[in-house]
Formats: sequence, structure tokens, C-alpha cells
Amino acid sequence: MILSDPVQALVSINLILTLSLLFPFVAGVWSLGLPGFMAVGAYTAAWCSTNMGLPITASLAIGVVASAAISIPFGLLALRIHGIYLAIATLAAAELITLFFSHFEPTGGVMGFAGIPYIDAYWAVIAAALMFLLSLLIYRSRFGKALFAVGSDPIVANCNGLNVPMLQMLALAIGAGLAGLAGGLFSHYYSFISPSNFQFSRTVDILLFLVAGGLTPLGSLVGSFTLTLVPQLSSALETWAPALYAVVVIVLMAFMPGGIFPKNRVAPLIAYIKSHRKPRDSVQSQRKPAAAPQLDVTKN
Amino acid sequence: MFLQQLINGLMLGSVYALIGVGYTLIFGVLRMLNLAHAYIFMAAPFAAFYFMQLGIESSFLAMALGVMGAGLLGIVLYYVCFRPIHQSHALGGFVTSLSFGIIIQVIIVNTFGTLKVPFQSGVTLPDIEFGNTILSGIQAAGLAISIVLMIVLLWLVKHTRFGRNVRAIAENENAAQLLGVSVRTAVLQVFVISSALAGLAGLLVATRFESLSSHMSDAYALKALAVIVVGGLGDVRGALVAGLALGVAEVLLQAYASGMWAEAFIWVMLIVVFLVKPDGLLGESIKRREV
Repeated sequence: MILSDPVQALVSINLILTLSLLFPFVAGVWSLGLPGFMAVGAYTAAWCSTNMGLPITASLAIGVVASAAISIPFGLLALRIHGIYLAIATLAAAELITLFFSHFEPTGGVMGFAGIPYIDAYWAVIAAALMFLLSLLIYRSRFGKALFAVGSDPIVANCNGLNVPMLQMLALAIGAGLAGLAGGLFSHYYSFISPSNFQFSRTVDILLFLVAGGLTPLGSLVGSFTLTLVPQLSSALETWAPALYAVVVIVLMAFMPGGIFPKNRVAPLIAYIKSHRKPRDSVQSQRKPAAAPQLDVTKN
Repeated sequence: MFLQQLINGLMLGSVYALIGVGYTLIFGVLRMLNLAHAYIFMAAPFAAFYFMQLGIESSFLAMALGVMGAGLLGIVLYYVCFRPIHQSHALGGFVTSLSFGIIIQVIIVNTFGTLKVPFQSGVTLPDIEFGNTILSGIQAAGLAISIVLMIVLLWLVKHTRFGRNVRAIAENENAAQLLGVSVRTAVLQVFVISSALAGLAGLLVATRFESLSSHMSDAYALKALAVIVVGGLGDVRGALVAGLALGVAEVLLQAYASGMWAEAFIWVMLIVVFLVKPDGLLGESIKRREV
């Protein structure tokens, strides 16, 4: 492998987190509860493997189930509220969950939870690869198209016989499960977790990865890879890296509002690059699909 | 003792309210959350600190420059982050303003470091004593300034042309434009006013705690979001009431219950408001289906 172990783990965990944000966003559920769900997965998995002696794979699975289950009450809340309100409500959920863990003594409170069994980074890589394939499958399936329809226009989706609230809750649960898996891997790779690992700033990073890449599995992959790896290139870059992301995101939002891969296909990007390299040769109609890919997930 | 806590609560609440008003005003005219707001709150005291280091003797002048800087930052923010983004883009303003805030924070971290920086305003005011309650002069001045500002702002929104324009845009932008409201001007005014208010709130916090840190906005950023929802999105009066109330509640809970409940109260309150009164405490927010 070209990348060192910690970088592999970081990239894999970031990829899973980005995918976990992808499905709710595709279905129009603007969930910012990611660090909360991640914390539930991390603490549950860590508790199972450390204090109950379960094998790590089983603990990870329990963590995934627990965080998906936690998302259900917030999903029920989501049936009542939409858009920016839902974003703030899930934010509240995440804050409450982190607050709970910082005052819950059995898992160490603010001091953190130490002594979690260690797993190698390649487990994280394998998990990330599997999750990427799984999310490609989901995204391309009938179910994934239904999610997309719900996100694009809930009313039209409803008229076409889709159960909008159910699909949105499922999307939220899938996202929470993925975040829980990332949390479990995180706790087992670093062997130590504390509530300060699960703060709003984590949502911010992941959100920027997703939006820069585009709301597709391919976009998540590219966004999380490049933006995680850029700060690793040099230590001088590291202090300015967040600003660099930020500039990239602002520029992208102005010129390619759908992100780099709005369609989960490579072809439009290549066409876009070609059309800019030789502006005279390309036909206007060829540029059109890629030039301003619109994010259709707008109406709430 | 209780009176002292009440005053502390009002101090905290007035900071929430000053930040919240900016959030809610910008949301009202643009239908987008401006997440850079809390970072502008932090930028103003750092700018004032920078001006003091440059050798500006009068701390009042430095602070005034800090507030003006925040206002200017508001204009830059609008042209960089909101002007190029199409309004129907669901995540547009949210993400770009967040990025703008991150840039501010990175600049601050790289210039001043992540440690606390002492902030000496050099303003000395006599303490005020009534009964067994002692109120430091700085606190009293801060509270007075924020209360006066809130009253002025309410008057502005209620009785001036600017306020009528802003309320018209919040209700229906197209109709406002057809009736001759210059939307661009009003939006810019809103950005300047709310950014300057956020900067002022930052200066109040900095003078009170006599220190600055590159993470001072964190505690206020998210809670101010809760404040505007509890008050009702787009409702200035609601944001003021909710900010003051939540600040007082937080300090009282801290004093008489536990720190955990003080922290949790604002979020529990938020969820309760969602379930019971989704249009905010005063029920004058922008209606949900339009958001």
C-alpha cells in the first residue's frame, strides 16, 4: 500500500462517514446528526467488545444496529418537520447524545473510554470498500431511485405511489447505521474515544467532502479521498488545509453547484474538461449537461 | 444571590439575542442560514485586538474599528457566498457560509494561535452596588448597550422604511420587488447590521472575560441556532425574547440544578418547540412550508 496505516484508517472512516451523510441528503433529509449517531455506534461497539468480551465484528454489528435504532425517534420527528428545521433538530439530537456520553460515568464521561481492543487499519479499508460497493448497489437500485425521487420532489414522489415518510426514515436509518459503523471502526482503531471526538466540526468536514464531490457515491469517494489526502501532503499545508477546502467548496458551489460528480458517472466530467480545453470545437449541446449540473433536491 | 444570577443570565442571554437577531434577519431576507455569522462574532474582537497591537491608543477606537470591520465582512460574505449561489439550491448558502467561517477561523488560528489571548479593553468603570448585589461596571455597561441596541433594532424593524422593506421581503420577495423594494440594498443593509451586531456581541464577551480564543464562537454558534428556532425563524422579536429567556434559564439551571441540565435545556427546549409550537414562541415566523 502507498498510504501509511493511520492515513488508510482516516481515509476509510471518512469515506464511510461521507456515505452515511449521502443517503439522507439524497432523500432530502438534511440530517446534521452524524456525530451523534457516530458516537452511539462507537460507544456501543466499544462497550460490547471491551466489557462484554464479544468478538469485534459482532460488536461492530451491534453498534450499527444501535445507531440505526437511535435514529428512529429523530426520524419520527422528521415526519413533522423539513428542510432547515430538520437540520437544526438533528443537530440538537447530536448535541444531546454527546452531552449524554460526557455525563455517563460507565463509559468514562468526559475523560473518555480507554482500553478498547485494537484492530488493524486494513479492516477499516475492507469495511470502507464493502460499504462503497453496497452504497453503489443501493444507489443504482429501485430503492435508491425512489430515494432520489423523494429528495427531488416529495409531492410528485407521493403521487407516484412512494411512501415518502417511510423512505425518508429508511434513508436516515441507513445513514445512521453507516455512521455507527464508522464510529465502531474509529473506536477500535484508536483504542480510545471521548465525547470531544464527536463534535459538530466533524459534520462540517464531512459535509464539505460530500458537497464538493457531489451527492453520489462516486462523489463521496472522490470528495473524501482528495480532501482527506491533501492535508497529508505536507505539514505546512496542514494548518491551512481547512481554509483550502473552504475556498475549493465556495468556488465549486459557484461554478458547479452539483459538485464534481452530480450524476455518479465519469463521462460528464470528462466532457466538461474537454469542452473547456477546446471551447471552439465542442458543440454547445455537448457542454450543456455538464456545464451547470443543477442539484434538483431543492423543494421541501 | 438570585438577583446576581438573574443579571448573569441576562448578560448571557443578551449575547445569544444579539447573535440570534442577525441569524434570523438574514434568514428572513434570504431563506438561507448564514453559518459564518458566529465566526464574524469572533472576528470583531480579534480585529480590535489586532488594531490595538498595531498601536491604536484608544481602545474605543479599536473596538469601533472592529465592529466596522465586522460590518464590512458582512458585505464581503454576501458577495462571496450568497450572491453567486442560486437561491433554490438547498445546501448552497449553508455550505458556502460555513466555508467562509472556516476561512475566518483558520486565519485567526494561524495569526494568533489556538491559545487564549488576554484582551485588555483598558476601560474602567466603577462597580454598581445595590443591596448585597455587586455589578461590575463593564457588565452593567455591556447589558445597557445590548438592551439599548435591541430596542433600537425593534424600532428599526417596526417603524422605518428599512424595516418595512425587510419584512416585505421576508413575506414575499417577488411581491416586494414588484412593489418597488430594492431587494439588493435591503439585503446588504441586513448583512451589515447583523454582522456588526454579531461583532459587537463578540466584543462584549471579550471585554467581559478579558480574553480571546480562536474557539470562543463554538459555544455560541450552535446555541444561537437553537435560539432563532425557538423564537421562530425570521422573527426578530422572537429571537430577542428567546435569547434572553434561554440565557437566563441556562444560568439559573447552572446555579440551582446541574451543569448537564443547563447544557441540555436549550436543546430539549428546541425539540419541544418543534413538537408543540413549530412556528416559534410568538408564532410570527416564516411559515414552515415555505422554508
